[in-house]
Amino acid sequence: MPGLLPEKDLISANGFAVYRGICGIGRSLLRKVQSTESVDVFLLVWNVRGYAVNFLVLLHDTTPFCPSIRDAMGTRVRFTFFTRVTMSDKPVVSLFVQCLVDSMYPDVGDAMVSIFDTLRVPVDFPEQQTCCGQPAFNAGYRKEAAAAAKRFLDIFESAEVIVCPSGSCVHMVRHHYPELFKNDPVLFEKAKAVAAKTFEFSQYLVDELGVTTLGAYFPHKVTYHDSCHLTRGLRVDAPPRKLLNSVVGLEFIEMKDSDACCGFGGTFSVNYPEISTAMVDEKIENILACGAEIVTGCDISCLMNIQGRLSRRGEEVKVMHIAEILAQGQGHGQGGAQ
Amino acid sequence: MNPSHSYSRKAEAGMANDTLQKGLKMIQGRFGKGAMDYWSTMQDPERRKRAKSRRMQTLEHLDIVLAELAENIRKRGGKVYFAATAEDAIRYTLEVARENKVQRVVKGKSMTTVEVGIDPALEKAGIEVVETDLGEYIVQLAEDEPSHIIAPCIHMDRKQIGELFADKLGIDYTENPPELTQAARTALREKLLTADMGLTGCNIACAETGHVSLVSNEGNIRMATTMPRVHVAFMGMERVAANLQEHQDLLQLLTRGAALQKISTYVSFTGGVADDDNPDGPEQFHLVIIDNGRSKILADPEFREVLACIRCGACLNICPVYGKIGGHAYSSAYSGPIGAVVTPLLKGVNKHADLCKGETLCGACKDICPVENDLPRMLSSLRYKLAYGDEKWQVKPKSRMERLGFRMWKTGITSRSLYSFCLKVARWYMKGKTGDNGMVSAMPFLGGKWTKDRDLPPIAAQTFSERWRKTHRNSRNGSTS
Amino acid sequence: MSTYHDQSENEIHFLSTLRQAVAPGSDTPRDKRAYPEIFAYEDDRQLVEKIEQRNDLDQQGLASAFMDSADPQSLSVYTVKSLDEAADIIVNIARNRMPEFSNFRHIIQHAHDDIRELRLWERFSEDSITVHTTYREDAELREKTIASFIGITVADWGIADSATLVQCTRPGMPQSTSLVPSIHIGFIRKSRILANLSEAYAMMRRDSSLNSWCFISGPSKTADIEAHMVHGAHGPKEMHICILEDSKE
Repeated sequence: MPGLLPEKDLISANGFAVYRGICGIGRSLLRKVQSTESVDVFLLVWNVRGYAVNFLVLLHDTTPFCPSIRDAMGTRVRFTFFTRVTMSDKPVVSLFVQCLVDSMYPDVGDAMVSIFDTLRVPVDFPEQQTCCGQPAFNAGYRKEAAAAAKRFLDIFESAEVIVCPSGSCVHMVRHHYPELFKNDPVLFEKAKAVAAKTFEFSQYLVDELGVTTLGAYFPHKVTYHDSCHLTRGLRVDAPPRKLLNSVVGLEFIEMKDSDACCGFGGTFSVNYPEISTAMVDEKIENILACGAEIVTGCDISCLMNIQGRLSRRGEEVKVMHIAEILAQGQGHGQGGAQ
Repeated sequence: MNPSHSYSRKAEAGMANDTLQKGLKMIQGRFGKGAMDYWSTMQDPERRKRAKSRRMQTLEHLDIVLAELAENIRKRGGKVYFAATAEDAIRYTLEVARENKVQRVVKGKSMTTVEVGIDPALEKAGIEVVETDLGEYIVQLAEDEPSHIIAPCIHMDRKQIGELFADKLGIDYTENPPELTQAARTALREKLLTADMGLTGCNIACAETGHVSLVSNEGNIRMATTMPRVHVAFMGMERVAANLQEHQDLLQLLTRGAALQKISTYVSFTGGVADDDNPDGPEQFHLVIIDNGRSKILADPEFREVLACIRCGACLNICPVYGKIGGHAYSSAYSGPIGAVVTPLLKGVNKHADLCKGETLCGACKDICPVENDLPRMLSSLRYKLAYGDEKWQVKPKSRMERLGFRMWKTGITSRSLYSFCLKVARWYMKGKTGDNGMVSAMPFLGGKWTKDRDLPPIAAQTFSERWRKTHRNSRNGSTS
Repeated sequence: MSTYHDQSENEIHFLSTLRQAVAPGSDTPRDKRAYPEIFAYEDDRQLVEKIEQRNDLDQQGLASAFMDSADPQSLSVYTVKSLDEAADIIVNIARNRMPEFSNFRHIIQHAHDDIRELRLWERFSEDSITVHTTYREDAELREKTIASFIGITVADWGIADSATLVQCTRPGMPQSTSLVPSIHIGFIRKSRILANLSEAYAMMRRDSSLNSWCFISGPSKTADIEAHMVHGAHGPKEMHICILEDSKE
């Protein structure tokens, strides 16, 4: 499997850990440097780091180290050189973290911020944000949903780009906002404009920024849940997989029926709880059957549903949002499985 | 029983029925996935789009197409009756039966006949009604209801059917499907050959040539339309192709969507009466074209496309909700995603409010539909009508409590300070209820419905907005908020 | 002003409701001639030419494809160079099968030129097997069909990619012959085998004499019990197809 570190190769594993440690320290120092010095110095220092890495790679080629270290380091070097130079001119990302992330899963927001920082993409968080209105819309309460939508448009209309860690919210904005305001020409135009610049997180990284790897390190067995609105509504199923497969040490396992609905469906989960539970139980059976330690996805609503049932059933499998996995091993904070 | 109360109860009964669960899993695993694979590997990826477009054209000119169909049926000796309501259709059929001294009717599987309710009416008039489709026959013997459009007795296993046949047909007990099928074959042959009238549906009529076309594998429909003296076909008014080209497109999509077949064992084109050219057709053929609420759907641009449905059953085979609850929960001739849309539209939105709200809008049905019907969009529209009421469709708002709830929600989310305050209150409340595993397992009111079977994470000690304000914002230059 | 005759009150009213639904405000019945696109066909003349230009070698290819498409578990397909050869096969089947619903062996065959020379009654002179023919004038046709355990028919067309017979109802060729007896033996001339369903539809479209027909693609079957496939529901339990060698004129 590409990029997989065999545990038995202790020398390489340790070497890699040392390398990561150096990077971590270096990065913190450089943060300080960055805030007071110009970009050129920053680049210079990273180039030096790059040479150091190259030296290690040379060492590998002439000594019997594990080949995957080279791959791992190689991608990081390539990534480092390429993205450091180009990303700083990218548009400012305005985060729409989603109500659930804001209130219950703030680590996901942290992870997104850290990833954008690593990419040197400028990040902003309009603090007035609350909810995109999806719960009301799906339940049929379009007037109330329109109030939420209008507020969203007001807050985000001047954003350059809006990125959200939830496929269903992005689907709401892209597909339903224009529909909500189809009888109001002004709001309709506004909705269309905002919809065009709203992206789901993994989609933004891969399709818009062209990121192929974030140099993350996360040696666990991970499976992925394709959430309905992201997969069938927005047709995004490759970017999360690309990103997960680029994580060093991560063993990616496809579960059976990864795109089967998890049973959340907004108010459906509390109006028809028995049916909802039966659906999430089936999803969990598939997760358990594939042998993964972690289940991830791009939609916190689904993950909250799956996590809630896993927890009640006392299962060992942990749930992480894809941003949290991609932020692993970057040297920012501890992270790790919940 | 009020259908809107029985949805959850019947759903639970369905989920507790192991035989049904096994049957549904098998059907969905084979046919649902199979159909999706087929569409994605089709050589002509635009085929479904074209079929839809053709269907919409026919629907938009349905008055012309049906006039043409009726004319051509009459040309070959058949009679056509336009039934505005179910009662009209029943009245006409009873008249035909009476005039022809019909004592026994053999039926081909037809959801339209179930929708209209012709069976009880015939039985009340002292006429024996025999379902001849094996699955429908089994369901009839068991005095039960079908649970799937294409596989009516998927909720019964071979043991149950074996016991049923031993009881009702007097044969030795067996649970071997070929033997059971043989027993039904023998029992039904006599009925098919001695019946006075055959009553079928119509899969796709062809207006240009004046044919009613029926798709089957068992041969019972061919028998029921060839051997009895009288053939009556019930046709939902939208089930017509303008010409043979449209007919072919729809036929191929139908057999693939229904059972992954390139073509079904039998596709019969009928509609004439016995004469020199048609030596063993029936003496009389009656086509009963049924409205029963369809014209109202046709008149509403929001829902018109649902009439493009060719009743293949593919959406049932992919729906995760149907896959758990089975067909009986829908309390309708039409179950699954298509049933969830047409049943409220035909029979009453409030009456079938659960069908409008009881799914997750996951979109799988839209992906699998051979004619690309956007069922989730229509379900969302129905929910909108239930939220505030709708005059055209005579919908009353479903729940004042829910409306109030969302009004309060709106107040909360349109003010960041109120929203933050509510979060603080919730955080305080949930902190006290957080267990050792870091999760909350008991919440009040609506939250209790969640925590009945699931845990909930507590509001975080620091929300992301708070973290942004305290930490992230300060570490970057010139950021705006 | 309606272009149609015999329209009842109820039809006129029904159609008027539909018209109001799709074209509100139109008071009079719409004339189909104003909407030619509704009944229009895509041009399939090339397809028809292709069919007409096929030669014997092409038809041989289609016959092979036909045999390949047949599910060996349920449908037996033979190519026969003569009716004698076909008669051998039929005699074999008739002698080795027990009638399902009767103690007597009756066979019924279409009154069709292609199989007139089968001369089955000669073959069965020593067996107690009665052969009937579906003559138009025969008042006992129905009883004879029901009594028969083998039905022999001639199909108008064959479709290679699904091993389908296009069984058309014509004078002397009733539908019941391919339906009621337990065993169906269908004959099709090699020159009449088409490639696919589109070609079959193109041919049907051009045959205005056709009253009714059936696409038959194997013996009857059902999977209603636990989705377990069983051959032999209400139609024939067993099916055989004989492809008659002939030349395309």
